[in-house]
Amino acid sequence: MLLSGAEAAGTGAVSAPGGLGRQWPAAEIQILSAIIVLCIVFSFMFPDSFATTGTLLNMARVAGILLVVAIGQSFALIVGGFDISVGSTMGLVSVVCATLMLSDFGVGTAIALGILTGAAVGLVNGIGIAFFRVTPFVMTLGMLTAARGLADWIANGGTMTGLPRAFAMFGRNMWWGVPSAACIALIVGVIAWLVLQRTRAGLYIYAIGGSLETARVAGVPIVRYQMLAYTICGALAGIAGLMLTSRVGVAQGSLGQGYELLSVATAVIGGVLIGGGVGRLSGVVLGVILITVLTTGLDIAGVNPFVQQMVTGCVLVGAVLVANARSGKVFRLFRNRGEP
Amino acid sequence: MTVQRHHGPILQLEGISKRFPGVAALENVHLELEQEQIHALLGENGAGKSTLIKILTGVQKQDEGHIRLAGHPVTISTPKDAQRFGISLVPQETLVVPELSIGRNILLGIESGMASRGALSSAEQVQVEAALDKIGADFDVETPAKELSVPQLRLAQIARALLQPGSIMVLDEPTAVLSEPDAEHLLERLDALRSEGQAILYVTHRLSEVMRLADRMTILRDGRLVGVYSRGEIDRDEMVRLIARDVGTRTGDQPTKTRDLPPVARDAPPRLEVTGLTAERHFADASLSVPQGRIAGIAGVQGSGHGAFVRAIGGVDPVVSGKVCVNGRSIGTGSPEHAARHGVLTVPADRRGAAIVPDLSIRANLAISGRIRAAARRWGLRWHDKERAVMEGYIADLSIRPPSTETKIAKLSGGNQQKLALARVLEGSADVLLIEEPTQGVDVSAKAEIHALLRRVARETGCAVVIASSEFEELVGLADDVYVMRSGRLGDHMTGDTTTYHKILEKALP
Repeated sequence: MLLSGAEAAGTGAVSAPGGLGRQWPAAEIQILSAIIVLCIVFSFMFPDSFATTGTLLNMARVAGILLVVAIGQSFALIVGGFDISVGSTMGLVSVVCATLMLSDFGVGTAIALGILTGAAVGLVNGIGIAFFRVTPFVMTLGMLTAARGLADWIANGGTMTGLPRAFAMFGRNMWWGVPSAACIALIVGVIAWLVLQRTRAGLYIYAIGGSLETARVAGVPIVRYQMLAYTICGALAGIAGLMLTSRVGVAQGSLGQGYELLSVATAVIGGVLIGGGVGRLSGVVLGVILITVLTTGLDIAGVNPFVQQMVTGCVLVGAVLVANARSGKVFRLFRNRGEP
Repeated sequence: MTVQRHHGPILQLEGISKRFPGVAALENVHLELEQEQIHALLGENGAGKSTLIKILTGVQKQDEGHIRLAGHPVTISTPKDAQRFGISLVPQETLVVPELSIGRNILLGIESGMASRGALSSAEQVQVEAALDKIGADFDVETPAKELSVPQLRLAQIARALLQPGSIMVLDEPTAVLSEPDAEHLLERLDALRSEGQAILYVTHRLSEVMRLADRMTILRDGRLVGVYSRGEIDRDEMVRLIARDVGTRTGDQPTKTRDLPPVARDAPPRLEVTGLTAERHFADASLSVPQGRIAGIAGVQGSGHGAFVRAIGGVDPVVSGKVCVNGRSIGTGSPEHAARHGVLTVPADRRGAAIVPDLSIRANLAISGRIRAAARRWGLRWHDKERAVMEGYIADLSIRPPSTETKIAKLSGGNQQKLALARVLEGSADVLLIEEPTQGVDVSAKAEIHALLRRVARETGCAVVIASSEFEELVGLADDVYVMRSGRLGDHMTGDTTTYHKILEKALP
């Protein structure tokens, strides 16, 4: 009974020794416990403001947007690089889509073209990194700057208002009683999981990140799949840009600032390895929830936003340290003494 | 501690033993090195030479035995200890920081006092130039390391060893990757260093070199000392005989039976035909032809280029010129992706770096094969239960332990990893399989299984298998044709039924 229930739950719970059924990986358990502890602490401290439906819905909206970016970022991380231009991409997509909608394109067309813009940004990143062998840092740093410049240029450095009502509403709407942002994140998450787990492309992205040389020798078309990973990353940043634009109701070139580092941080907290080849979406989801709960709680507690940043930074490094301790890497330096 | 001039051997190894789980790497080995002596350490791959050097330079510790320096017993437990006792190692690989000048590279980590990234101070320059002079290097100390050739880097490494205090120099295969003239030049320099009082212990495969140069030679076989000789005491044939393992009682010296060879259609083009393949610094003008269903072995000692040759056929390493044809059609060179599309798959020797993805599961590692069978897929998607069924077949077939498809491949033993690396190319249903050192670092039973697997694959699927190996024993009895590569030249083709271990060894040693 217990076993079959666990199997149905998808990931499987801790099961009989001998490994029948899958187990919750240790990393996920640790993050989940941290989330639960935080929720309990905040609920007791602020029963009137934290433990409310309003806060929960708000967190779902915030987490939804962040999760879409973080999933995109995970593709770039797993293939062995990263993308720090996702924040700028969000801003660019925001103003491109707004411009289209304000010049009488349909909302649907504008959204589609907006996502395509994000994918195009990602594709350019991918071409630079995979084909021309520019390091991911330099390429996406260049893109960060260039895309932000382009976005501000299109928006004349200002804010674009008067977006169609239909567009502005979808970011605040509830779908089936759930905030739309969370629904979109869920759909994106399921598709991303399918791509990573159920397609050859997903396998190749893991293989390239895990050992570029092995993938090359095995005959994997490396350039193509690296480009694909960055394109997916860009497209998801585009979707997140649209979600954020709709939520705040205005388009802005500077929209999405901060998401580049936040997306890397949440993915890494969730167990995605910088350097590639390792990472699960379940971990990324939990990483996003952890950061969202933490920042929301600190907000409610009235903690200075700068102090919040410090806390987030410490959580990031702490999570990686905990992960390393689990795999016994922390004291490697000391243990290897005497070896060449 | 400085070693004073002293009569008798400067370095004595007494009764050194070292055991690894399941194997004795060294068994009661003695060695005496004197001042002004070039001492050659000879033996086949796996004879224990590297282990002995690792013990001498503090990388590993012996289980039994003593080391004496100038008569005093010493304990060498770290590489720093070895340095302090005046033992300097010239390693086999030429590792440098390419962007720094060669002078900076030579001094890296042994600078005295303040050091900067920039030009050498005048004192440093004098010091480095003196060392380079001694070994006859003619390049400027400020040349960036990336602009130097391999022989020049080798000289720089020796200069670095000379700068460290002490008079014992250990060279690990200094001439392995050098051409004849470059090796010749290097040996002249070793000769000169000897006259200046250095004691030189060096590991090599090149017997002709040893005959001319070494004052004394110590021969190891299977971790045991089999003889110590002075120059002129034994000839080349005798040396080969001593280096050779005693394989008469094992299957290794039985020539391949040609009876079970599949018939080859006379008018059909060979499965694999390589013409005039040349790669910079590794091998030149190598040609071979393998019919379907046959196994060709490329034998060579370390540094002879046999592994690079096989990798180049598979497009893994770049080539300068030459042609590779599969079933009579040219497939081009230089791209493993392209080669794979024509059914040419490679398993390189660098297992962890280039043959498996350590962090992925067994199943994912096998599924990387671009030509995985249709039964594992539906609608172009991966289906985990279908994949598992296919992979479980391999796991049972190859007796992989633990028998789970979801274990991370990094957690498996080397033998199991190698079997799975082979399984992946088998799943790719190749026309040509290229395998470099198929049983390197693999235990005896896994070795036998891998050999059986390769034989079965060739016979049953008709694919042409090319095996590069520096373990000659395994080629005998496995390969239908054996080619020997020596210093980048492929020659001396032998058919399986005439091949013996001794013949290969005789031809492979430069």
